[in-house]
Amino acid sequence: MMRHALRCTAFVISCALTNAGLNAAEPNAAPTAEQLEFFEAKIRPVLVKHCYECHSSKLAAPRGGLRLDDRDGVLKGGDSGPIIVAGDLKKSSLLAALRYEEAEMPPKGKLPAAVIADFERWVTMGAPDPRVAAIAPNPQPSTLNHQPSAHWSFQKLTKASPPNVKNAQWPRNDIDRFVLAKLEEAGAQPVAAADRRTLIRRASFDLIGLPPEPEQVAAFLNDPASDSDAFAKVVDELLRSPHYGERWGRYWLDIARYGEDQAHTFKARNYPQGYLYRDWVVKAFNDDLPYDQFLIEQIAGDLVNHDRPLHERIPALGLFALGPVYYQDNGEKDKALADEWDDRVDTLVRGTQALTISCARCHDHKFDPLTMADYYGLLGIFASTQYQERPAVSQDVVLAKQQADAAFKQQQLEVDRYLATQARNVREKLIPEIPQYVVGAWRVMNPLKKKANEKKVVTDVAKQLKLNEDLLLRWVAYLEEKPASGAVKSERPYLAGWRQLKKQQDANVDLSDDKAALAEATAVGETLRQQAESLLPHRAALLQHFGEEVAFLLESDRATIAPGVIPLGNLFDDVSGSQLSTALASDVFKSTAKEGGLGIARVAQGWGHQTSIATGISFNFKSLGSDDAKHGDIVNDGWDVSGGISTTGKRTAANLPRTEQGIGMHANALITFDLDAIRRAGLIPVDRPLTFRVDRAGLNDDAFGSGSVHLAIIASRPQPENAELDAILVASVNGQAAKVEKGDDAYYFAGELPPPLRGDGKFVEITIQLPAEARYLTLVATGAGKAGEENSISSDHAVFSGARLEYEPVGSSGGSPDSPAAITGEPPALQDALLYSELFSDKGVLAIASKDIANYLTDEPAKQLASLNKTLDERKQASDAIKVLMAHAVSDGQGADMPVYLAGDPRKKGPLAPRSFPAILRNGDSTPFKSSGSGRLELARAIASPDNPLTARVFVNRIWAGHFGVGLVRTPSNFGTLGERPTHPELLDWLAARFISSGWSVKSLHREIMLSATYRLSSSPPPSEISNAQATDADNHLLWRMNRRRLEVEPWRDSVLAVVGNLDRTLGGPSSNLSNGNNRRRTLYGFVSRHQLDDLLRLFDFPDPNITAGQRTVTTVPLQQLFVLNSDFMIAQARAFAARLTREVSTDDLRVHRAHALLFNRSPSPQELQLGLDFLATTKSESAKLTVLEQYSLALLGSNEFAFVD
Amino acid sequence: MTQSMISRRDMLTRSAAGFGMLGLASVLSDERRATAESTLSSDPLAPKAPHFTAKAKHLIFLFMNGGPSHVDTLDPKPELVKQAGKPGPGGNYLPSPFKFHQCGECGLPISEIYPHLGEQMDDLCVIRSMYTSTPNHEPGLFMMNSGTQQPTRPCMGSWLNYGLGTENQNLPGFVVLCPGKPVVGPALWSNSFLPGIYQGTHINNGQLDPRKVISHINNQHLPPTEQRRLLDLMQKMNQEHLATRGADSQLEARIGSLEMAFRMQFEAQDAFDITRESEATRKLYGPGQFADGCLIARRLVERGVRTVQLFYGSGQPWDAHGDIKDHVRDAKNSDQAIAALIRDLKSRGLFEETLILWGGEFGRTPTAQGATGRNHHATGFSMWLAGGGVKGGMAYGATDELGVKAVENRMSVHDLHATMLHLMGIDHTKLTYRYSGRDFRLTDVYGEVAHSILA
Repeated sequence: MMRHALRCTAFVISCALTNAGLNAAEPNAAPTAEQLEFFEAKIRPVLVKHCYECHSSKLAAPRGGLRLDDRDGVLKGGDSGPIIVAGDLKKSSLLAALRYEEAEMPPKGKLPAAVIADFERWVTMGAPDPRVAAIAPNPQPSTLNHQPSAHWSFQKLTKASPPNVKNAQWPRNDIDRFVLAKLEEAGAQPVAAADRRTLIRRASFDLIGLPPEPEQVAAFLNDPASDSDAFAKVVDELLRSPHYGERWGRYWLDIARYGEDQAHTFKARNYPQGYLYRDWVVKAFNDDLPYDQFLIEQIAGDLVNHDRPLHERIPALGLFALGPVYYQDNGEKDKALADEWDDRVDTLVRGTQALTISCARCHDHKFDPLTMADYYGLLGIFASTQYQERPAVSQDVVLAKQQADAAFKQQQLEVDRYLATQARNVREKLIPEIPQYVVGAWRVMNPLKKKANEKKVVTDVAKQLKLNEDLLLRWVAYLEEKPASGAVKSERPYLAGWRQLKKQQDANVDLSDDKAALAEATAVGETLRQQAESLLPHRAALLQHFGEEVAFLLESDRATIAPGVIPLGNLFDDVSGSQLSTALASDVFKSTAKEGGLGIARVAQGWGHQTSIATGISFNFKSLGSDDAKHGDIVNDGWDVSGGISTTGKRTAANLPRTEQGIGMHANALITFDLDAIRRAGLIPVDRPLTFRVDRAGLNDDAFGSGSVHLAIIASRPQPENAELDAILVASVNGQAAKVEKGDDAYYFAGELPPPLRGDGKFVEITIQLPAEARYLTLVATGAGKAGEENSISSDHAVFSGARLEYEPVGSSGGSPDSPAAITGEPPALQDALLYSELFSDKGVLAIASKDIANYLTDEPAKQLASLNKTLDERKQASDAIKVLMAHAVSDGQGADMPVYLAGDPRKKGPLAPRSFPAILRNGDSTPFKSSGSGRLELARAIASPDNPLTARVFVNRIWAGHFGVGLVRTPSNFGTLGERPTHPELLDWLAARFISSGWSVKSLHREIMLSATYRLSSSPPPSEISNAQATDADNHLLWRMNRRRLEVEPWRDSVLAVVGNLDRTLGGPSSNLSNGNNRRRTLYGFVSRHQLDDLLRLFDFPDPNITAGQRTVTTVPLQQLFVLNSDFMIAQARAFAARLTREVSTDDLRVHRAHALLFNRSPSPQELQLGLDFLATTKSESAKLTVLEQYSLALLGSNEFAFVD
Repeated sequence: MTQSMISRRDMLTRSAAGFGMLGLASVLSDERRATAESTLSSDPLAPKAPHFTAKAKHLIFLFMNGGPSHVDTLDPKPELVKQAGKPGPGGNYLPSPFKFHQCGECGLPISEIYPHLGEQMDDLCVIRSMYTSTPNHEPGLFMMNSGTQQPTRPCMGSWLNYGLGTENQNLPGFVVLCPGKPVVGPALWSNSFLPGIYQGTHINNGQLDPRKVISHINNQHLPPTEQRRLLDLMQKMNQEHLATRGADSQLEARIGSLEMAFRMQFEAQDAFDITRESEATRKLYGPGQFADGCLIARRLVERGVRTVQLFYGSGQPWDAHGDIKDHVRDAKNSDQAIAALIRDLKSRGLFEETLILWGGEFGRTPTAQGATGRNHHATGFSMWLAGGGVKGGMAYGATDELGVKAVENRMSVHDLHATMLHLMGIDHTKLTYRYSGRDFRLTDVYGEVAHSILA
């Protein structure tokens, strides 16, 4: 306590001292609003842009000891003394520097003369500067230069009671007393009430956005009940209509800037299920969901405990989830994210609080008591919230779907397994047919026949000899001895007989029908057949060893295996276990490499292991192989994409919609393969030199946005003495040979490294010859951050695509293998192993593909397969039958506070702003949110609180505006200092209080407003009845009449369809395209595009869905009328309306009457009747494609009366 | 019939008097005024007085979408030859494969790929010191068109229409021509928070059928006399409706607007019908979509349209990543037409009152991408201005010796916007719209007018 007091004292003293100089020239008066505005407009932006870089308290050592980012710094000056002497232009060295008279500041270029003049003016004023602890070093309650309590909208709701009025007869409820009191005060009176016909039309458009049916009008006109009772019935009926929610939900969707796609083009996130949010809003209005609940569910519906099941609340989260997402790529990400969060904050706060808090993004709000800390306190909540698509159906349905899917997949596996087993059996059964295939291939290769259509030859031969066409083609390729991928030479020793045959036979003579030649070919085939048969015992041993689990994986997940190629990605573990057999056939992603796994000596996973693969890629031998230190596993990462290493390209600058086979690693990871183990497993003959190849190495995904990587390959062998570092045999970085040098206890790459690889779609190819003595092969993905940076992991998801070892399948020495036996029994002779693989492997010449195997099955196996397939179909149908609708929603991420971005610049981070809600709206409570999550729930509660001074006022005003065209506050999304003042503040508060006490019932609010006498006033008083007092209030601030309003585009288009009889009144569901002429659904259900807003919507003042809109503008331009006069839509409706009139009544007279009743809910005047009859009596010209009745219909549908509501 | 015509004319006159008086006041509009406008309505597109005497009345923005290379068009860099193959930012330096020629009396150089434009060199004011915020198409396009990187602000054509209105009420005031769509698309001519009428009207000059260029411009069901008769009927009912309700500017505005729409049908179709041009004029511009676009731009400006933005092509044709020689194609398709546009405007006395702006969203790297391409480049690039109020035959600003960075008289996009608005008679700091509690500007809180390029 004592120390604290002392420190305060010291602070005060220093302030007094630093102010002394200023006092001499200028009384220490608080800056005026005008001065502050000048500072904000002219001075602060220049300081931020040109000075803060070098002169900021955020720097450890500001240049020249000068800080210009707060008032104290400016007053104190720098190492060379004060820089301004208030009011004295000559002695202020700041000005001299700006003029380039002394020091030249800013060094990058002299500022324009006008700017320097601004600074002169500022100094003359006494350098008014509001930046006093504007950014508090520690989180503090809002400390501000504003007087927060003065402005009306931050006050608690006043408890106004309805005033007394002179004309006690007029009021129908308390609303009227507030209104009438004001009128009487101004010496004015309300005009007469509207007639019942006008009233029901007004109410109907107001509540459901459609005109009343003639029958409803008649019922109301003839209702003997009192005006009040009769109208109450009308209002109640309309409020019960399901179309009520469609009308009022749309008002909210304007505020929620509801849109179903993005403005930009590249990699835009669209919202195909966005309509679930729209339908949720409509239903909430229809159900009269209390407004506080309505808000809570949209902000934090997933976090709140509630009777209603979660899945019914999930779509509400679309308020944030459906927000615009901006273009992000390298360098843009921070800015784009900040802009996105700003959208969320702005939409929420302007929508519910009518405050323009976004102003506090770059500086404290200039006019309202909102600080940067308030803004970033809110921003942190959204930064801690993530987009997530979540089920909009019950957990039961989700579970059922998962089970059905699992059952289907299980059955798919059963079918695959069965087919694979059968395929393997068939391979053996085909051995007797080898001579036939050799003969078949021989025939196909007979030169004269080959000249013709080869495919046809193959087909014919296959048919003739009853052979499988695919296999026959493989035999042809096999016997032609085309080299396998990567193989250097291709002569198979056991094809000596065949080569002999080809040598003997004349290549230019077709010997197909030569019996002797045929016999020779058959004999070659017979020899091969015998060789194949001799392999069967070995095959049996293999199968026995590996069991029936050999490669029973979905075919799509399998890597190609060719003789002479070992895909290293296959050595990763997979769910089936770690057997050699599995590794051979599988390439399953999301699989894991574990130390001690087949052929894998060492793995190390990035985070926390930077010592071994540090910046600049120095490394120690422990990384490579000869060490027993334990590291993490490497997951062959699929980024949640099955079937390959992630190459979705979602996060890369280069768009790479590709799936790769190979190895995917996070940054700072390495894997070491033990080549001996691979050899011992029988995969590689020991006498074969190996080549390591990678088709594409580089960055596929780049979650950090600015990543780069070095990819190193190191081949090594252990030293005889374990104590020594392994010997490095070959090394490469990014595909280029690299030199390695040895340090005391580590190796490092010497010389200049190639530039790092970036996520730009460019990859390198790697080919490295491995010496025979190589024991370990290490693949390294580094981070490539600059030396000394805190975190050198700057990239993500390196890929070694198609990483493999290749060897010449046919031995050059012909010697026998000397490796230890990998499997039971004697290892096969080398040639046999090769033949075995070429016959029986997946691409072997006896391997009928699983998909074709059904044709080879008969009897029991065929029945078995049919039965399995039947179950498969059933399970597929069962799974398809369960729909799991996913809503665009959000979920809580890790809660974290945001730093204030100085001047709104994400690159300039200030102190943390604890997540919170502005204290001014919480009775001064500035306690930060304690939530470990995002803080959304606390935010929701702070907004939906009866103590919040704005929430109820703002919403009540919006509802009022929906009924009167303008609100009691005419800036419905700005209740701040710069917004308008309420015309009837007591009424606004009274309504807000009533609203809260009614349990936030929106329907009660409508009822209260609509049953007032104020609502029932005529909009069209005869000029003779307008008093002077009324005439002086032409804008009707006093509410002496109703405002005439033009229908918004939705009710206008819907009404056209309705009166014509074309309106499809179905509720909800996916959006449809309004430009389709056959679209007869309500306009609400039209697709709302941020990218290209529908023409009709755009023409008729629909707000830009990229930003929240609290109020629509009303414009009147010719392009709108072109739609009215010429569009296919209007022409079609005019025709339909004419057809309706013709169908329903028989004479022109009746048709004019009927048209007026349907469109205007009234009878035509005598003049109108005559006008119509005269027009209908004319004849159309030859070239006119519309009948006169159709023309008449168009004229009525396009008329003013149909576009406006009285 | 006669009587109704007179009454209609009478009504229109009254409307014009009633609506056309917003003037400067509405340029300085604010939220309250917006509220008043929304209830009282008026003709927000009526011509309005500028802040000061305007040098130019119309803007034609020739947008080379994709980003043309400065070192291959307007900013020759001999040093690149010396540094060829040596490493520079993002790759190795690549000299331009094109020769530059000094043209006109001014002797300014221009790439050989622009033989026709070279002849107009004395009319061009080349800005060689442009820089923008980001070397990426989408944010770059937004920045150049609306002064911010996100789709949250009105574009420059909308600001101009908002500030100045347009001279011909029978045509849209802000026309965007593009065969197909540029990347990003309609958001580039969005009104954003300004009222919807300030949005650009997109015309696809890839398919130039005057009857279809503007939505619903053509009535396919009634001959004009009969449509007139229908409209007379509608207007009689509207007058009847108005008479029983007393004066109401909204109702009157719609009545007037119906008449304008009727006339627009014919005037707009005429404006977009380039077959009405003489053979000589057609030949001057040459063939192709872009040439047609230039010709339409002149026809529109001639008819009082405020802003015409002509995108060179669909997508981003200037984006020469693979081979910078692709610029030959794009220059060839636009060179003659641009030169023709300048000459044609001159011969009609329109050049002095029309500001032409040429450029893309950014430039291209002086270094190579791959063997022969160039990447996006934001730190220095070129644009040019011509016509109303700018000095011709001059180069303003400079990049460094290798064309990497603008170093002299640096001109940001905001500066360009400020200068453009200045030429159109608008103080960029005063053309504001109050929205969300703030006065927004095209130039945000930035922008300096480049006074030394003003004639």
